[in-house]
Amino acid sequence: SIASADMDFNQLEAFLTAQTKKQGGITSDQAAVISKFWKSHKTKIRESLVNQSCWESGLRGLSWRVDGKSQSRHSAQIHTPVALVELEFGKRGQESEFLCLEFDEVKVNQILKKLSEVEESINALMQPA
Amino acid sequence: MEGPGSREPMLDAKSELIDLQWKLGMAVSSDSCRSLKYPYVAVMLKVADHSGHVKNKSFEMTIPQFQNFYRQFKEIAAVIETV
Repeated sequence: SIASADMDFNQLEAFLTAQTKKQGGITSDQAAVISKFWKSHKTKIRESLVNQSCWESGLRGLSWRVDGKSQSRHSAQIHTPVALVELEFGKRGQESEFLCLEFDEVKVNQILKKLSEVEESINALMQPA
Repeated sequence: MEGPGSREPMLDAKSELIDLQWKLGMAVSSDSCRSLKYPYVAVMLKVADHSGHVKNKSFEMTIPQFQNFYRQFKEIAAVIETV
């Protein structure tokens, strides 16, 4: 009940106090132990519950490097830098799969523009109501 | 997530990114946790392999993972500009 409701410490104290008053409920020593356990493990427990609710592939890793491609046309040397990005994905309990993508500078900037839109949305969501 | 140089990207299986779509979601509740309140970024990549075959790849990131993802792409942009 405590984990499922993601109780904060005030809610926890109220809940445990109510449990000690119930017939067949817990003792105040037991309440103290549960309270201590929840306070020290809340974050890890929550993380585990969140992971259990994630069924899509998660991003497990990202590696990249930038290569300078050279080509000659007539007598001119043309340098076209490319970024190689390797993404590692995986679903909970399954092995990773990898995707290697090649980007030129134009494409990198297009991606950056999209990612800045995501960040704007996140900032708007996190604004206090 | 790893930074540059810690693993060499696979050279023979490069794909081209055609499109990136995203959404910002909030998981509210689930059967294992009634009060999730967990924001996440869902991404759909449309990629074409060397033969031109197009496929979609979708994945999710937590907010900290997304911030790292974004930071890495900013680093790539900074480097690619100087090469």
